[in-house]
Amino acid sequence: MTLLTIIIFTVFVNNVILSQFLGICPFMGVSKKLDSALGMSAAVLFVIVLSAIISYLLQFGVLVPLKLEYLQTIMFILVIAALVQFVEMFIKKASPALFEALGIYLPLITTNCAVLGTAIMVTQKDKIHNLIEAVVFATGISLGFALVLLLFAAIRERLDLETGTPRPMKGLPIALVTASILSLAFLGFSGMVKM
Amino acid sequence: MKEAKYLIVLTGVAVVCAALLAYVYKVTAGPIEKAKNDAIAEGIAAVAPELDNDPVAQMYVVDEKDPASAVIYPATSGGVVVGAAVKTISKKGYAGNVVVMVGLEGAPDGQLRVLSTMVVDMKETPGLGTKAKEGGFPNQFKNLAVPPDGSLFKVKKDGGSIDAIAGATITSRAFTECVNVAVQTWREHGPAALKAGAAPAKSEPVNSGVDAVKGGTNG
Amino acid sequence: MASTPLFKEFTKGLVSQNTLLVLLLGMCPALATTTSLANAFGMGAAVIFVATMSNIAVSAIRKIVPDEVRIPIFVLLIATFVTVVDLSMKAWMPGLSKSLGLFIPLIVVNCIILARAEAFAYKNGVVRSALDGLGSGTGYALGLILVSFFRELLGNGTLFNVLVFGKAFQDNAVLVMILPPGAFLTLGLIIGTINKIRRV
Repeated sequence: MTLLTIIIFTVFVNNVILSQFLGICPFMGVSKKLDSALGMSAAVLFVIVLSAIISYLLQFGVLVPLKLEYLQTIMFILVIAALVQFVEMFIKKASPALFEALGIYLPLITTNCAVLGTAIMVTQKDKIHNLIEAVVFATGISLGFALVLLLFAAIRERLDLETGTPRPMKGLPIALVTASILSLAFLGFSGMVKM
Repeated sequence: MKEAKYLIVLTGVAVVCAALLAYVYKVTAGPIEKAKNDAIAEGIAAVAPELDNDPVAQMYVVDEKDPASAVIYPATSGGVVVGAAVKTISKKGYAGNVVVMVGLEGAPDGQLRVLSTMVVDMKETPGLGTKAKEGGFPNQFKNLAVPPDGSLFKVKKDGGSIDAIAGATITSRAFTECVNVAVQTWREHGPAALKAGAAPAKSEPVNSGVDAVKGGTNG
Repeated sequence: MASTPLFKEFTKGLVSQNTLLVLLLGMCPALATTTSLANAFGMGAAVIFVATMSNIAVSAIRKIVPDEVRIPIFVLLIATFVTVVDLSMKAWMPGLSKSLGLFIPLIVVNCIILARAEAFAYKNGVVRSALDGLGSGTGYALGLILVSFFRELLGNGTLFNVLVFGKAFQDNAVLVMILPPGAFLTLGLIIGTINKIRRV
């Protein structure tokens, strides 16, 4: 299985949002505008790839040799929380505008299921065989996340202007129904590559 | 000093949590291992011929380095080989690996018959590929005699006699491959498996690649 | 705050402030684990346990936890209880553990639990916090059950794997309901309906 296969699998066939249901909360929250979607995707990419690397090393360098696999959940989430703190500080210094734009969603990356989910998935040895594959896998996940986020932002900017949506459906419900159609479209990729 | 207080509280909570978890881990380690073995034992019992040995204790992994290797669970009755349950993995499933436990009747060098099959794991399309789990498709393999000339089972599309699941040819092919590999494995590695049967039990090839604790059920 | 009757601490999480359908928290498992009522019940039970226990734990030590380090402490406690549930399920409910897969450890990032710990348990007594956790967890479980009711009934023709409309329906059921698009659709329509009922 090549690295290209991994990318195609994670971005299209088994998309993190539309097939695996990870990262829904930020997906619904940040996908309303194109520029915040872009900023969020970049921050998420950074956090996911870094935490995947650290988690992989932690799992196979420390937890497994010491037979402490049951501490996986705790260790991983603490690593992620610390990482997000650093990213926050970094963005605040590097681009205060982006920091303002992302607002509450930046610390919320910690509770993004996609980050912890990816960290756990790269430690499943029957799918991921080495650190390179783990990095490519994590990158693929983030790209898939970004793709759907950007697709959605474009749709939602239009959707929110629509006056035809019934009032009870405005906002989250209609976004979910739209996601359902997008997910149906992505189902067409299934079986394309395997992992 | 404030920082010291933070550190004390954090460490204190961490220590208590770690202690609680270590305790829970100890308590659950046994049942977890047993649950894993029970699942395999159930699979074997569902497909293998009448036996009176311990197939799990006598399990034989064909290729220890390959996590997708076939695993033989020999079945004997009264000291005579009656067949085996063979767990095979086909990588040719539509959405991932298809793992099937195939029950075979007969000695490795004799006339063989597929008794029954059970899907151990599959990620195939619900409602389509998952029809391989029960019903018309797997029933075709029940009590199916294996051709003595060594020819393989094939779906009708490939010139064989097996009716594939409508709309799930790939899954059907993967399943059929599992059965074929099971037969071949028993023929080729059966004698070695039976000889090794007297050796101490090893446990299931754990996917993480780490050597797990010795397995084996107590029946 | 102290004047709220104890029982109300529990019931507020069930309907008027239902964690999933009103507060819109914890959607990821609501989409992933609702392919069958059995899965929804299992997931719901796990969430109830973690929500209640972590609220109790946070409330019990709230006086000695400094404000600045409270989030890491919350996370530590929640992760501990999640691990307890994970190990227990693997030991005594392995089938359920396999079906729910990743989503059991993912309870630790389920927004509800952290939200309740921060907003309520850190500032209230143990008994109230316990009820609050119990209520928000149960409300969430009810939401999961509602979604999975429709998904399993229409997608598989069964409830708890018991045929409701007969085998013919099951063979021709609305498969998409148990696939990802059906999840989004069901949740979206349910929330929309709830909004209509609440006249939002």
